[in-house]
Order: sequence, then structure tokens, then C-alpha cells
Amino acid sequence: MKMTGAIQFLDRLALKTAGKSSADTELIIIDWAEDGSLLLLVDVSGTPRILRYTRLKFDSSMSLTDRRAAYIQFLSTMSKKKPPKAVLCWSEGMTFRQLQLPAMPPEDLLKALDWDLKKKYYFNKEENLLGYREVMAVEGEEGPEKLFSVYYCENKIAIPRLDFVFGLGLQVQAVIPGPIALAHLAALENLPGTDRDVLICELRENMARIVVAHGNNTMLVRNIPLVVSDGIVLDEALGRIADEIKKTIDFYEAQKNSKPVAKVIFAGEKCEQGRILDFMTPKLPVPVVVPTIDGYFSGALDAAEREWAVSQPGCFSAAIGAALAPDDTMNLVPMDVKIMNSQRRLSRLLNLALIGFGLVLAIWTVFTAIQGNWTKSRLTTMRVNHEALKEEEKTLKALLDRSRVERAALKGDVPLYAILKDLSLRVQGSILLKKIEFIRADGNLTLSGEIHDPKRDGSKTLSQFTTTLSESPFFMNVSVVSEQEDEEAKTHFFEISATVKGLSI
Amino acid sequence: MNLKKAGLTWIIRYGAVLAAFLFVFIPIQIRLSSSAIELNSLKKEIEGLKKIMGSLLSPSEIKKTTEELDRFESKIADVAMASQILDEVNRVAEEHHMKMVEINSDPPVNILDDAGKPLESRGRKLSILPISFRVETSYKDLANFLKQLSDGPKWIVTVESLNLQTSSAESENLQCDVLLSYIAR
Repeated sequence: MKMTGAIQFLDRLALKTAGKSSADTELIIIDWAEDGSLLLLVDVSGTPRILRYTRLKFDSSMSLTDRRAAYIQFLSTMSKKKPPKAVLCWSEGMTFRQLQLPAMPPEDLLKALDWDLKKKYYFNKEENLLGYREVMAVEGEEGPEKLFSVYYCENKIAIPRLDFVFGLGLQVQAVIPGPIALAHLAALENLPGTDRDVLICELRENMARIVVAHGNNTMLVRNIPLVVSDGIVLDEALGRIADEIKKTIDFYEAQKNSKPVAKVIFAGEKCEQGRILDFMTPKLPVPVVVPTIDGYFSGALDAAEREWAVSQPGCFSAAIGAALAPDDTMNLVPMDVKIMNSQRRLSRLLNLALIGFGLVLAIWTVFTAIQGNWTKSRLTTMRVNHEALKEEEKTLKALLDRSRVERAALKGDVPLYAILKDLSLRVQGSILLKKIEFIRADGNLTLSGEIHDPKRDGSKTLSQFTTTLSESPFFMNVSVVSEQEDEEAKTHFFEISATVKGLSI
Repeated sequence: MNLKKAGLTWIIRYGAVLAAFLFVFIPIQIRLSSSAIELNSLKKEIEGLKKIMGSLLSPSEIKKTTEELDRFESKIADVAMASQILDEVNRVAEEHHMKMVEINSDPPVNILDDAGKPLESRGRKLSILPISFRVETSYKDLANFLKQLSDGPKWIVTVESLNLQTSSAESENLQCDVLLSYIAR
């Protein structure tokens, strides 16, 4: 049960996410009957549109090979490598049951259904294909319960048909019970929003099937023998059918969970549109219609074929209904086929994911490569800038080196001629410089001389002279090293020491 | 068993795509990473260089300094030019009416930097070429003589020492011993 749930989830996921090729957007619908089949090629990318169709009539003497040849003729125009999937639909051999069960976990439900079917109807799960779904919540004897709609078909009927279709090289997506397919079409015929059910009467060769549909679900199925003479349903037989329909309506509407029947839809290959409407309308208490199928044909279809098909709506009803519900949960396809289909879908999904994964990685790689190239080009530009800056730095360093050499070589040269000039301006008339000694290495300047001024004190003149020297921009640390007064000669001898400014010693 | 096989097949497929991706992507990523690292370090280095250079000298200052240094370097004499320098000193002394008593040139002495290494200019060691002389001259002429030598366009000269004294009480002339240093290489 868990496995089934997972498969259904993957199915839905694959359908939603996978891209659709023509094989994904087209379906082959096979409305199977003992005496022949109706084959449709339908575009299901939107509202189903019949692209091609064929009606195959078989008599009991036809061999399986002949029947296969007839099918292959229809399939021959399609891609052999990846043909569209097939949806099978039939009514003969489909058994309908309704079961009421209390709410229970999904893993227990199938067991409970098996048990209930076995107990009530001698159902053997090994010998039948089974499909079921919940219809509505109902009030049971012991509390709230759920109403389940169940269809099953004996393997001896279903498996040869499935084998036949597999033998044609087709994948089977679904096996839908004919009444369910009709219910899908009837749901569209019903007025939207009306809380009413619809009665469908399918007229087939020797058999009339009365189905009451509640939405997409069937609530009641009755099979009534139908007398056909030369392919035409006799009025007497139609009268009996009308009576049975009235009885069915009365019976159904009297049921606990039923809704009123809004209309009766006639379908099936023996449903002659005009005659049935004329005959049944006065006899039945509710409106009588035949399905409107004009909208389900593609423009590509031959005009004559289209005209014929539109004139036979009953013939196409079940097949169109099946085309409307290829993903219906009432699918009797065997579990192994379901698993195979799911695996194919999963495989396609994984393929797509792989392509997506590869693309993402490729885009990432391309993006990184582009980024790498961009970085490389930036790096080249930056290297050029860096080289230029390095050159500038080199030039500057060389300049600094040269400047250092110049400074070291000159060690703050001083303009000695300017010093001599400054000195000459500061020496007053009574001062006679006898000796000037300058040594650049220590910046020392020594001045020796005499002051000869009988009117003035020599030491005062000397002091004034040293002050003047100190005010010079060239000298500092001006000091008198020695001085001596010669009283007789009225002469004041002196020696002054100073440091010349601006020498970096 | 089939499911396991299918699962394994898909794992291999995805693995192959991933391996192909890694095979192509990793070298590209490595190149990108190394480029990015180099780019960042270059960026930092450039920023650092710009910062340092911006704080040193402006382009106009560089130009000015370069010109000054070019001028300085062009005025560095050659050590082999001692006789020409002596002639030049003699010529300038004559121009200023100085009486050259004695003039000598001593052997060149290497100029050392603070670390005691010889300084170099244009790949040659810098030296001092000492020129000593004694002259008799007036104070004014001596000053003008020294000015002309210092401002002279040919060589770089500094006055290392100067000893100036009156030659006699009667004479106005001064006796002057001068030691000049010519920068040479």
C-alpha cells in the first residue's frame, strides 16, 4: 500500500514536472468490445481533440493475427520508437460494487476491501484486476463511514486484452471501466453547480446498461438485455428500456444518499440520436439528451469522417469519456504495469533532473570560467599598474639615494663669502681683526684682534661686538675666549669663538 | 533486484556527470582562486605603494629634485682633473688680484656615509679632492674669490678651512691659508 502511494505520488510529480513530447500529449483510446473496437488518437495537451479514429468490426471467425493486423494499420502512421500510450476502456466483464467501510489507514483499506468483497461476492483477488475509490462520507450503522466505488474484472477477460495491446508495442497507461468513462462525459453534460445526478443509458449490441453518475463516480449500474433486430433496437425494446429507466430513477431517488436525477443521457453504438430523443422524451419524467461531442474533434480530421462521427455521438461517448480521464484513480491496470509505468515516468523525471543538474553545473562552470577570465584580465591590468608603480618607486628610491649622496657629500655647506661679508659689516671702526680662522669640520670660527679706543673701555666695545655677532644669522655660541688689556698701549686684545650655523656636523 | 540495478545505474550516471563537472571545474576554480589571491595581494601592494609614494614627493617636487640632483652630479669633478682645478683656482685668484704664494693638491679621499661605506654616484666612488693654497689678498677680494668659486658652474667646492691673518702691521694685505674640497669621482 505504501508502495502504491509512493508510485501515485511519483506519477503525479512526473506528470507535472516532465516536459511533454508528442508521445506525451497524445493518447490512443481503445473502447474495447467483443465484436469490435473504437480506436481514437487523441491530443490531450488541453481539452481532448480526436486527431484520427477508426472503428474495427470483428466477427467471431477472425483470427487474432487478423485483428492485430487491423490495429497495426491504425498504428502504422505513429512513431514506432515512442508511440503514444494506450488507455483501454470496456464495460463487458466489469463488475461494479459499492462498499461502506469505516475510516481506516490506507494500508488496511485494501485488505478490508478484499475481505468485504470476498465475504459478500466471493471475490478472489488473484483472479481479478481491482480498482476502487472513495465516493463520499456516509452515515453507517455504527457511525460515520465511507462509501467506496469498486470495479473489478476477471483476469481471464482483462489479461488477454492487455497482452494483445502490449503485443502491439503499446504501453498501457490505464484500464478504465466503461461506466466510469461515461460518468466523466456525463459530468460535463450536467449543469455546473447543480447538486443533481445524471442517469446514463448505454445501448450496446444486445445489452443496455443503465448507470447513475454522481460527478465522476457511478452510484448504480444495471445491465438489461436488449433486443436488436437487423442492427436496430425495436420500439418494444425501447419501451422496456424506458420503463426500466423510470424504475431505476424511482429506486435511486428513494435511496438514502442519492440526489435527484437531473437528466437521462443516451449513449452507445445503438443510440440513434433523433429516434431515441423522439421516443424517450415523452416517456421519461426528466429531460433526455445525447452527448454533445462536436467540440472533441480536431480540425485536422477529414470533413466526412467528422460529419459521420458527430452524427453518432453515442458511439464515441465512452471513448471520449476515457480521454477525459486518462489519470483517473479508478484504474484497473495490474500493479506490475503500474510500477513499470511509474518507473518509466520516474526514469524520465530522473533524466530531466540529470539534464537540469548537468546544465546547472555547466552554467556554473561557464560562469566560473568567465569570472576567471575577467579576473585574469584585471590581473593583467593590475600587473601593468604595479610595474609602473614599481618603476616610479624605483625612480623615487634612486632619487632618494642620490639626494642622500648629495647631502652626505656636502654636509650642509655654508657660503663662507657671505660670512666674511657679514663679519665686515659688524666690525666697528675701533676693532681690528688680526686673525680669522674657520674650520668646517667642527664649524668653529675663531676671531682674534684688538680694540684701540682711548676714549672708551675696550671690554665694553668687545661686549658690544660679541652681542652684534650673536645677532648675526650665521653665528651661535659666540663667546670671548680671552681678552687682555694693555694699559700703556691703550689696546684691548681679544679672542672670540663662535660656531657657524647650518653645518651638519 | 531491478530497482537496485536501476538505482545503481542512476547513481553512476549522476556520478559521471558530477565527475565530468569536477574534472572541468576544479582546474578552472584553482586558476580563479590563484588569480584572485594574486589580485588581492597586488591590490594591497599597489595601495601600499600609492600611500608611500603619495606621502613622499609630488610629481613637481620629483621633477625639481631630479633637476637639482642632475645639476649637482654634473658638477662633480673627475679625480683625474686635479691639474685643471688648480689652473682654475689660479685663474680665479688672478682675476681677483690675489697673489698666489703656494698651491697644492692632495690625493683624493673617499667620502663615507654614516655607516662608513664609500658613497657612490653614477657607479663610481665619490671622493674629496683637497686643494690647499696660500694667498696674499685683501679681505674684499678674498670674499669675492670665494663667492666666484662657490657659484662657479664647473665644480662643487666647499671651504674646509680658512686661516686669515694680517701679514704685517703696515701692509693692508692679508695672508690667507685656504683648504678647499672639490667633490670628485
